[in-house]
Amino acid sequence: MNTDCRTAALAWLSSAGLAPEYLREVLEAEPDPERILMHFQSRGELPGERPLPEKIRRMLKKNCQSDQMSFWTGLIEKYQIKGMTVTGEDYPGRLLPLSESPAILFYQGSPAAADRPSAAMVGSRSASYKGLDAARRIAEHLSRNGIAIVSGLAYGIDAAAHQGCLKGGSPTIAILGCGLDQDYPQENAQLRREILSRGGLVLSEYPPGEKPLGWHFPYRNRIISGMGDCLILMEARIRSGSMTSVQHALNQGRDVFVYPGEPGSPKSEGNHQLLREGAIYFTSAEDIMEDMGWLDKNNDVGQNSDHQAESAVRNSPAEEQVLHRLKDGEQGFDQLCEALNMPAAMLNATLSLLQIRGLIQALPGKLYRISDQAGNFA
Amino acid sequence: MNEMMAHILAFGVSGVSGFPVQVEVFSTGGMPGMEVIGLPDASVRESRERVNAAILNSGKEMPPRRITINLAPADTKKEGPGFDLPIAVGLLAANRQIHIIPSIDLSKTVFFGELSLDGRIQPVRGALAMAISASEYGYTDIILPAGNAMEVACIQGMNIYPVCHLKEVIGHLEGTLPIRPQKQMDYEELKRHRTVAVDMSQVKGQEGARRALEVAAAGGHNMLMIGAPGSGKTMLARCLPGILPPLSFQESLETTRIFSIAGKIAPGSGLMVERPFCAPHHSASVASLIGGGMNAAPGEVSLSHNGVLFLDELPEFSRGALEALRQPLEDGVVTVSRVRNQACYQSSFMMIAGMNPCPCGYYGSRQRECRCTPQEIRRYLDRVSGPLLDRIDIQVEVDSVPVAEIRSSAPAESSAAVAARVEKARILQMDRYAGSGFFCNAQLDNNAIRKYCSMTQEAENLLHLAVEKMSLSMRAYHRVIKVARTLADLSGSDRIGMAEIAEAIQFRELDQKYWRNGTL
Repeated sequence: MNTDCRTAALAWLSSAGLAPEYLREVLEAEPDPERILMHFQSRGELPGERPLPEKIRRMLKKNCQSDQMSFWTGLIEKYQIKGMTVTGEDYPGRLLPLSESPAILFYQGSPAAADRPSAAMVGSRSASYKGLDAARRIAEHLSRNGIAIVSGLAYGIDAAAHQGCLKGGSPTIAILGCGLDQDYPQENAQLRREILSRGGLVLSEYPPGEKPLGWHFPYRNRIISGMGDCLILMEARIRSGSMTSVQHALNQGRDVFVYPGEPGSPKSEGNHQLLREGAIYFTSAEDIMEDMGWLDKNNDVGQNSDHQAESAVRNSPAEEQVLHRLKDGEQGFDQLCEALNMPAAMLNATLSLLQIRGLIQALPGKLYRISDQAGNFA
Repeated sequence: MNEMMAHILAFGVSGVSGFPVQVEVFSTGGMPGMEVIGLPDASVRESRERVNAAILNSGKEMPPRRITINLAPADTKKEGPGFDLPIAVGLLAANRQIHIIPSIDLSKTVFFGELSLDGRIQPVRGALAMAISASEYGYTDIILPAGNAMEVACIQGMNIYPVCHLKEVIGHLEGTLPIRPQKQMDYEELKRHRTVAVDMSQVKGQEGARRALEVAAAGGHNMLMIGAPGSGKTMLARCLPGILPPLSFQESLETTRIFSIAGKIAPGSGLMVERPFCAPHHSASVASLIGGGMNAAPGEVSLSHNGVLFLDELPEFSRGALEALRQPLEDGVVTVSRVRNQACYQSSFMMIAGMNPCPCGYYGSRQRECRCTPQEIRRYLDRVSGPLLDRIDIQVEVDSVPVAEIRSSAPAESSAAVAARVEKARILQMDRYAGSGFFCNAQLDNNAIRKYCSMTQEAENLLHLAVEKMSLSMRAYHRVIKVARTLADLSGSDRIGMAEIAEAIQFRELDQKYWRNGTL
């Protein structure tokens, strides 16, 4: 109850649209938000040196009335929202040195998720199948090595990044552009519940009740890039939110890893531009771990040995042929049919058997490829 | 002057069957005039003028007398111009314009045909239905338009007299120029002249889809094809009638009858040999698919009876239209009720559906990039999920063939070769299900699956493993078994083996890739 009042006071403080630097000064002068509220109620001023603009004063005054405060308390109780401030001890250390770090953060889940090494993964909401797939794979691989993935819970790459991370076993961190009481986007509500139930963290700088307004998102992107030790860009068009994340990451001094997309595809034009400008090229999670110096923490053992055990089952000659063809990359059904000179009936059966054993994967467009060692049928 | 009377036998159409209509012509003195009674519709009432002109143009006269024409039974609505010919003959007889020779038994002779003003006789709709019913009622002779002659040529035990002009009818009835009854045609003879609309040899590449099509044809399975625009879904579907076994005589009668009622038979063409192929546009209304209109006319599902109903762009069809397909898919008949009529039409068809993987059509394509958002794709796919998917056994992706491949590849296997394999598999099924009410694998219900689809132990193990690893649903499970049964029939084996189960699993690829979480 006590913390809920404190969180409500933080909601009040962040509701008037004061700049983060200003709030930081206020909090440095008086770290207890409830006292700040009392201070304001008695004197009509905030602690600290700076004068309070009249407009903001009126806003704060309006918002500290009891109905608004109880509205916040209600949401905070219902959604178990907690707050942290830049002066507090639980505030993520990565954000502290940043110039525009949020002074107040609301969160659900466990803040400890931010303690481990982390990588922010961003990309388009309408990504290509390959992009989504790669995001999922790389996130999972990093996660298996104990690295938390930070992203924005949007659909597309964001969702894939969170999913991959969950699959790999590490907690994942989602940063929203709206109040934590809102399920936005609606489709990812289930994913969000899963993030929370698996020791993850959901963060937002917006007080409960705040709607997902368009301009929140590019601004919140600075927190995504700030919460990661590095930024991984999977797929981005030239003019996109992901490109603003990259800009933030560069300003914050983070390494930017850019996945090479399909040449000529508008969906990864941004990637190619960044690569030309000297972003770090990578194709696998190992590349990132090597560059970030994470390799020594390698605890990637269990899954690999599983996989080897599975492939120890003897393959039939037809299966060997198919696997051999697929070694050079994904192939269509007709391509396989022609190259192997195999009747469609037999190829159908062979592909099914390989799929059931998790050795190959079927992709939309009647394409097949060797499944990566993670084993996609876990 | 004294009263004179004539009775002529005609036929009307209701639903898919004909009913006898007595045309009674009563001629008496008094104020000259002509009245048609017995619930005629406008086209029947107008026949007065046509008949009048036709008689005068055939060298006979219309004496100025008071004439009443009654179409009995008087409580059933009569429609269509098919009553022109019997009315004309009745008028001639009642006015003593012709003297019918005694060897012609008017109580056993059915007349129908439309007259044009110059006396020529035009074909009418529903000739086959009327002729079949006439034969069932025990009538032996039919005088009908030459344009309908081929249509009824295969009916046994009837004397069919095709006529082109009213003069020929008069000559026949008076015995001056008797017409010889048409020689009865043998359906097997017709079958030999079967032509295939689109041959499989024209389909380049597409090995996977070709195989799926063959399996669908062999087991009568409904099929869904997913593929980018221009990948050849329509072309593949059009091949299907050509690889299905030709219509049997009974099937042909059923199908031709429906076509005849709908007026879709070209004049001069006979019983249908090729299975029908209907491809309604996706803007089709429920009534046009199921049947309807004022007179409860047959819809696309009945027109594709014993044939193929191709629904391209499946998600674009209105939800109501798709829902309405469920009953005919399940029962093989539809009952269409309208204020003025109620009809029961057969509608057992194979449904082939085509759809794009996403609204723009290029999701997963190598040719072009998809520009749809995941929600758009999900919403698009959701339009077809559920009960309709439950009735589709085979789902297959159709990949577009690059132009270079179309040019280079050698001619593919022809429809005839595929049809031969399909027919063999169908015969196996007919033998197996003889007396059980089924005639192809697609119709098996869960009980029948248990009874008829025995599989080897290792096949069963594989299936269970697949259900677990590929998260196939229970409904997919049964469909896999049915398709595997067909695959076994194609390879001529008695029990379902591992290879068949494994292949059948490939025909659930959309379950795996599209309708499962994770991909999107």
